[in-house]
Amino acid sequence: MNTGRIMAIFEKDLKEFTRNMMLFTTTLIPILMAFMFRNIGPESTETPAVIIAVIIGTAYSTILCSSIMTMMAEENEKDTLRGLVQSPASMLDILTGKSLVVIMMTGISLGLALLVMDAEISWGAGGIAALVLLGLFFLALGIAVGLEVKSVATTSVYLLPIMLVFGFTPMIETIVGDESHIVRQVAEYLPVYQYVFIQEGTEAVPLLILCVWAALGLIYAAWAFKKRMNDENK
Amino acid sequence: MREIRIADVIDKENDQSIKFRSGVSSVIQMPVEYIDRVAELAFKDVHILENTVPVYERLTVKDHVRFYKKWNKSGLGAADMLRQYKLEAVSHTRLALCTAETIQRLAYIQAVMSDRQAVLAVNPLYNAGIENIRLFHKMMEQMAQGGKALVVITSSTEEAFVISSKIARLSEQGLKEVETEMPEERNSQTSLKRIKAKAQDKTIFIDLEDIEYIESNEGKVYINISREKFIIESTLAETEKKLADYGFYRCHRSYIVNLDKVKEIITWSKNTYSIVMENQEKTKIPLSRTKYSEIQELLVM
Repeated sequence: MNTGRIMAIFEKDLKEFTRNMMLFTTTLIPILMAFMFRNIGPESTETPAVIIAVIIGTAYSTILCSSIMTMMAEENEKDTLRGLVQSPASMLDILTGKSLVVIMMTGISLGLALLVMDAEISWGAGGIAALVLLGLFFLALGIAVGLEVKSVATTSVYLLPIMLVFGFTPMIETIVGDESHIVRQVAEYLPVYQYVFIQEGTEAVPLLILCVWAALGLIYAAWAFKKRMNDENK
Repeated sequence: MREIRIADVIDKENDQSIKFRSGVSSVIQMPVEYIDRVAELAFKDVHILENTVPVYERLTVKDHVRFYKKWNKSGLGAADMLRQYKLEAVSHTRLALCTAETIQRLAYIQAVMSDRQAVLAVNPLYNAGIENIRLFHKMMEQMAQGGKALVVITSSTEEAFVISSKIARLSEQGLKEVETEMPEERNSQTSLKRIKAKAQDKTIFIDLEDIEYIESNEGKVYINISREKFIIESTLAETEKKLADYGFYRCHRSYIVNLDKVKEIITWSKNTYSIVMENQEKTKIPLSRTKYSEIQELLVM
């Protein structure tokens, strides 16, 4: 880890992020959704955990996952990393610098969205751990795809399923009404649902499942990283 | 000191190598295939400088230089580099709106600021304007001062000579310094590549390359140029001596032939051979038995 390089990339990509409309507008999506959900339903009732989970899922998939994916894809497409990557260490510096940018932007956007919703969520250890693990899963997924794709256009092929399956998981309730349906049963093991369960009180099992998801994400990212470094050395 | 083995580039036995010496720059001209090979073989921590560099379109020129500085922890000042490479006017322009010339200067700056001590420049002046060629020289100076090792490889001899007056050439035979004096001498001799002949009362000067063959006949020496004959006033032996360096060959006691104009050799019988000239008449000139194998060696590379 080379802090100087991480900061150089952080600074450069922060500039790029704010000047790239495609990336910057993603930070507005969770906030806009928060405004939408705030006005739905009876005013006095508390926002259900499922809605909050949808906002979090949206923020994580559209900003955290998609931005780092797009940023890496653009570097791949324009070959701008060619002069910079000389070793796995410099690649790690680049990924860390970029991750810091997207984590920061996601944090700001999600924070504002939760403020708008005036959501009452429990900030206990379980809740925070769930947020971190969920973030780790989406970030790893974004990095893995970003390392693999050759152009920005291809990212959308990966992004749409990721958003639908992992980001908006609780939306399944509006499509499949029957709770015992197989799709609903499977969906309950997806990461965003674990956050709902933790907010509803059960912690141990959902956290364990989240750990597995985060680990899977990291394994995928590590595999993509290794593959990419092999290609670089050819 | 780092080096790239020539044997790996030309795929032939060779014990030479392209050396990266600190503070030294060298220029090598080579065919395009070798350029690709050398760029491939360049070790991991050599900075490769090309005639352009991929850039971030949304960032400004200044953003780029600052990024290069930070990434490489370069001691060179960003503002100073912008000034030295004449980029002050465009320093706040986004790269999407910059000219190829500006991007090329960024490539030079990136190479100077790189934390890698060895730089391989591949056809760096391709498409470069006069100003950028000057800046390339400035870059070379800065690299030498910074103790960097620079090797420039280029496919064009003219480009190589623009970069340095002392260049080497890489060919199948290996790495050789290009002698700069010789070609000039040869050039000055081209005007002398003529021979004096007589046609009636006129003295004419015949270009050597127009001569097909020279024959001696009854004590007189004739120059043959497509269907015409001119007498010259020297013996065949003297002429042979004079022309030996210009691709002429004494193929027979009474004949000297211009090797450039030989089309084929015909074997009539065991000891009789003819040289067929490359002209309309397909003139056949005798070839001595003793010269038969020697001329064949001269005719092929």
